[in-house]
Amino acid sequence: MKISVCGKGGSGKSTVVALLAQQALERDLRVLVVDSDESNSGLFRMLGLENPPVPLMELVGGKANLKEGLSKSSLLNSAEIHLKDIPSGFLQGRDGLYQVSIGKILQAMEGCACPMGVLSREFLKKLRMGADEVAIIDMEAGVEHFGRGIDEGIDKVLIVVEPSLESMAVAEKIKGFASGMNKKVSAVLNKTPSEAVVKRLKENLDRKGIKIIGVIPNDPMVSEACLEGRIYAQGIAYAAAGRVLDRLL
Amino acid sequence: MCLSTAYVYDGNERREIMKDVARIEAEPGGVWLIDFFGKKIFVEAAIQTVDLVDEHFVALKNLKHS
Repeated sequence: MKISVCGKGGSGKSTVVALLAQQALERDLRVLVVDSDESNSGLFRMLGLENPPVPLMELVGGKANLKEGLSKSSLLNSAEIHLKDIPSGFLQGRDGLYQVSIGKILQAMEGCACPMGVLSREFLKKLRMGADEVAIIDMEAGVEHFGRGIDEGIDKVLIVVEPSLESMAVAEKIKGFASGMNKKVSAVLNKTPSEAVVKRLKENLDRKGIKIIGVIPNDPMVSEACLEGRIYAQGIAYAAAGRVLDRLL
Repeated sequence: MCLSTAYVYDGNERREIMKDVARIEAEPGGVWLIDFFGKKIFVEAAIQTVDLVDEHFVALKNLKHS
């Protein structure tokens, strides 16, 4: 199964991805986290890895070398991609939890991220997960990835909604785009401070026809861990993420 | 998306010949199209239109039968 985690910037996508990944590991699944965000680079720390993987963009010669070499990569030219096919270095992992990264914008004026969009789309389309494997995709913020067709190869879309009007508005757009691509869509409320706020979020999202499969409450321990780039795999938020994963699987 | 889809026009007929075109090299008698993953084809055609904003396409006119 391939689950895409989407939402407004700052809604907590990467944190939710890390919590889900750790919970999947506890269910004896092999987990592949795909970092499809061109900006943030600290996901590997949240997954408990020592180093980030080499971006898959390097398999096509790197963005800067596209003009010269273009691709000689057999991985990306093959019809299907399995975990075992990904060359070491491009796959970082520990105890059944692995990460790949599509690519990052590294400097000012380097141009658009379109090549990364193509790479992301093709990689996810060709990626095949076994019965005891799950891929969790940390998608770029917002909705542009739908315009690029990156979600084509995804099975389920999980929208992370934080308590803000803008986050709910982005969720509605995502629901529309994902449904238009015949993807199963659901949402998780994140960083909720109180039952009263949960109630208001639920009322709003109900009106938009968005199915909510879980609530991850604000957990000060998670916030503190985020300050250090870690994940806090205990407590109320972690337990709530486990229930969300069970609904997804 | 900056990467474009290339079509060859033969009269009123349009045929898609490559997706995700990353580079085009013109030569006498035709153009080389190279996609993002390194696939390279030579088409006996001339560039007619390149749309880099809306539909992101490259329209080529077939030179074979003209």
